Amino acid sequence: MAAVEIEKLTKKFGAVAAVYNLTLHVPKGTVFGFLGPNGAGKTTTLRILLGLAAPTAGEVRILGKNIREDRSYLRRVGFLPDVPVFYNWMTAREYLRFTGELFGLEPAPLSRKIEELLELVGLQKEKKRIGGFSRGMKQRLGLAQALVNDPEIVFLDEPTSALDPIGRKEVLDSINAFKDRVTVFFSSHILADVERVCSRAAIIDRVELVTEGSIAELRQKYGGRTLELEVTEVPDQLLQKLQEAPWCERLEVEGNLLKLGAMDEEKAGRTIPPLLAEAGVGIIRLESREPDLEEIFMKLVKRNGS
Amino acid sequence: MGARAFFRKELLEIFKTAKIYIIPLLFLLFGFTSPVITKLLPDILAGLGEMEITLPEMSWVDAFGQFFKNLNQIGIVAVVLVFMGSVAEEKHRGTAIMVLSKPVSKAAFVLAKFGAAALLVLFSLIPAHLACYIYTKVLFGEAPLVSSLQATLLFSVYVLYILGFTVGASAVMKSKIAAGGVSVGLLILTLLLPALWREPARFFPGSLTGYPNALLTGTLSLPEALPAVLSALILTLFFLGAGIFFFEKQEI
Repeated sequence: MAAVEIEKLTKKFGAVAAVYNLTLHVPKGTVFGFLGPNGAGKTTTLRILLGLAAPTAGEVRILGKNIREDRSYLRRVGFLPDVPVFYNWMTAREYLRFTGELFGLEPAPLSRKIEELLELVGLQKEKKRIGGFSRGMKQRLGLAQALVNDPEIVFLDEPTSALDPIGRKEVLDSINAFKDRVTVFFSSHILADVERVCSRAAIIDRVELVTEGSIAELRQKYGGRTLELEVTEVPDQLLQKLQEAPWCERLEVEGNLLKLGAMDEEKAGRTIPPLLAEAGVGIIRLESREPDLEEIFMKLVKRNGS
Repeated sequence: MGARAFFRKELLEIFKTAKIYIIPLLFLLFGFTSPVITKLLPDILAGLGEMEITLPEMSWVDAFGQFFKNLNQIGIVAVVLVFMGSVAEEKHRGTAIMVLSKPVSKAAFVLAKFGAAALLVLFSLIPAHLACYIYTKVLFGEAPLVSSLQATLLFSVYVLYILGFTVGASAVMKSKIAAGGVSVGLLILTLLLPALWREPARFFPGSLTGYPNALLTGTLSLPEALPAVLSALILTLFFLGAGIFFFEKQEI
């Protein structure tokens, strides 16, 4: 049984679809990246999964429960919204106690759980009110409150989007610390973050699913290879020839570094040296590597017409 | 589901924010100042100018009358202002999403807010009434305990009714300003109805605004207030129920 089963989910606001015909299965025990640009329908999907909005059509089962008929699954899930807002007059401990009480947890085990979670997210020494917390601290407290009931699935909506690099690292470290014991549904538009913590990913664009699979499968299916070519100079003539090459599906230029998406690596390897010689350009480095998620994402989103 | 936790959180919020000061201190201020101002009013007016104003001699009835007048005007407006954002503000800020994505009911969320607000307002009336009673007794030599308590009880029912539609409107509307607008509209309607439609006025909650004074002057007995009391309580439940009904239908 999958942790999350979404079948032909559609959500419309008037005539405008926010999610369209989305079918997705999230296996138990995975860290599932739910990727898409802003406005793709990620937050709306999550709001439906958490029972905060009703779908226009389709069916969702979470932990085997149809969410329209049985809300008891909410006892077994945790949720962190994109911008978690707390009661500023509370301390972190008070907030976690309150959320634990909402799940009906007993005082003694709850106290132990609170200390354990505060340590996990690095807030164990914080005594001040939440109103005085930085954005990163609030996000980490948000993670802690999503875990207070020992959930089987935790839904994270853009947990790193609003953070500076240090805050992002802290949140990702916290996710890495608990991801082995819970299914994580990680919605984001930051591809590097998804790549860092997720084992599977789905990409949605313009409210529709574009693709879904393990990160390795996605690389294999859509990636080709990426060739990084560092040269002594980059004349226009060389760029034009490379762009026209039949194996080249993508070309990015960063100074003297050329990133080439190669559909046929062998052909590319044969063609590049004569092209460089013809243009009178020296080669510093040529390296072949697997494409990263960002490259796959850009390719798929472009193909989808964005 | 979640009712106890919500109620505890609401009480904690009252004690840790300015809510613990605003209503209790305002009501207490009315309790202290109403008898004093009533006692000093003839002297104040005499000192104002050359024009001679003759006032009937002030009594304990006027002191309590002033107390209930202040509660009915400034007190009620303060109650609406403090609690108009109780639910709407949580929806607007985003704190509601954090808790309503858990296995709790929206009804518990709303009722906990009403319960805590009612507790605060009713407990604020106790020291206020006591202050008014003691000052009236000291300044006027007379103050009936039982009938003044009965009058405060009638005001308590009225303030519960006000809280009912304020919290109900807050559950329906998406901003506290909109909730405040609806509440003020309902307050005006409440006050206008008994004046416009005199025949069935005794069944309208708005009649309760005049009942404390009528009770103190002996022109009304407690059983005669029963229709308005019952309609106020029923409408309180109705407004809360309607608020919860529409809140349940809302997407957050």
